[in-house]
Amino acid sequence: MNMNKPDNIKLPKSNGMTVPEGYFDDFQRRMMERLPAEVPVAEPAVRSKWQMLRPYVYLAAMFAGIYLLMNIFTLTGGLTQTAVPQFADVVNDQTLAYVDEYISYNDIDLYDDIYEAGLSLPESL
Amino acid sequence: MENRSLEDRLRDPLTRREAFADLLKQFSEPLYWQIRRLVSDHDDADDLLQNTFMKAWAAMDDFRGDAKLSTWLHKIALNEALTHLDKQKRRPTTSLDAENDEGLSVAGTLEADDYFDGDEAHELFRQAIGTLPAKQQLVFNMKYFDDMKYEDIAEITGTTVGALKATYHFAVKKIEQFLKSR
Repeated sequence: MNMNKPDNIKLPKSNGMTVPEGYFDDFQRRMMERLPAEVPVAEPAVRSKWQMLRPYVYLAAMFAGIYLLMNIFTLTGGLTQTAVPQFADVVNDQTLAYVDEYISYNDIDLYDDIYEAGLSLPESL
Repeated sequence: MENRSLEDRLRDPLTRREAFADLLKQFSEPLYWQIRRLVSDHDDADDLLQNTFMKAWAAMDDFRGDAKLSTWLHKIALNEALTHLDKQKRRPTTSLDAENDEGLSVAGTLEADDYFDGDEAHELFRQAIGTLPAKQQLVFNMKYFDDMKYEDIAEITGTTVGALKATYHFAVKKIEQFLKSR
């Protein structure tokens, strides 16, 4: 079935509306009279000093931001150094002697300790 | 210079006025009928057509050529007509047919319009179209009277082609039913 035209009933192609004679010519003339005689050509806008400097200021701010980001670890590293003396406070001769002894503890010392404790070593050793 | 398209000449401030005269010659009539079929009254259509072209003139710098010039103008005209009808609908003294809240019935307006031939068949046809809801009426007018492509109507109304085909089909059925009942 053709959906484009109502085919069951004969319909008029026009809707019976008319316009005054010469209406469209008259309309075009009236419209042209309403329009400005000349179209203003947009002149390039005068840029202020700030507008000229703005890109450079933004660029400088961007580099400053990058510099800060790159140095943030150094800065925070400086801050954490303040915690080191607190640790150093607990380090004294006694603790240092313990650390030395622990580091120099070797297999021989281990066997001595086992022997003194009355334990026997397996034969495989 | 003469080989330049109408769009190019309209974009150029130096040739815009002259190009606009060509645009008026080309589009006055189709846009007038698009508006007139919706608002019915000749004087209203005349005012709205002037508004349409004044708005197009004012917005010419914004026309980037993404859409066709004709589509762009039809959109402006359609907005003008629908805004006018919306205002008219809100006025208590409107001549819109009280029996049809949804559509854009214009029977009363037509009888008072000097520029309507008053032929009985035409009047009945207009009444049948007037019983349609606004959207169906709009689609019917563009397809039936202007023989526009569905793709173009879709761009103007912001609807899909499938939806438009269905809308037109329903509109035709309703008109046929209306006329058969008379």
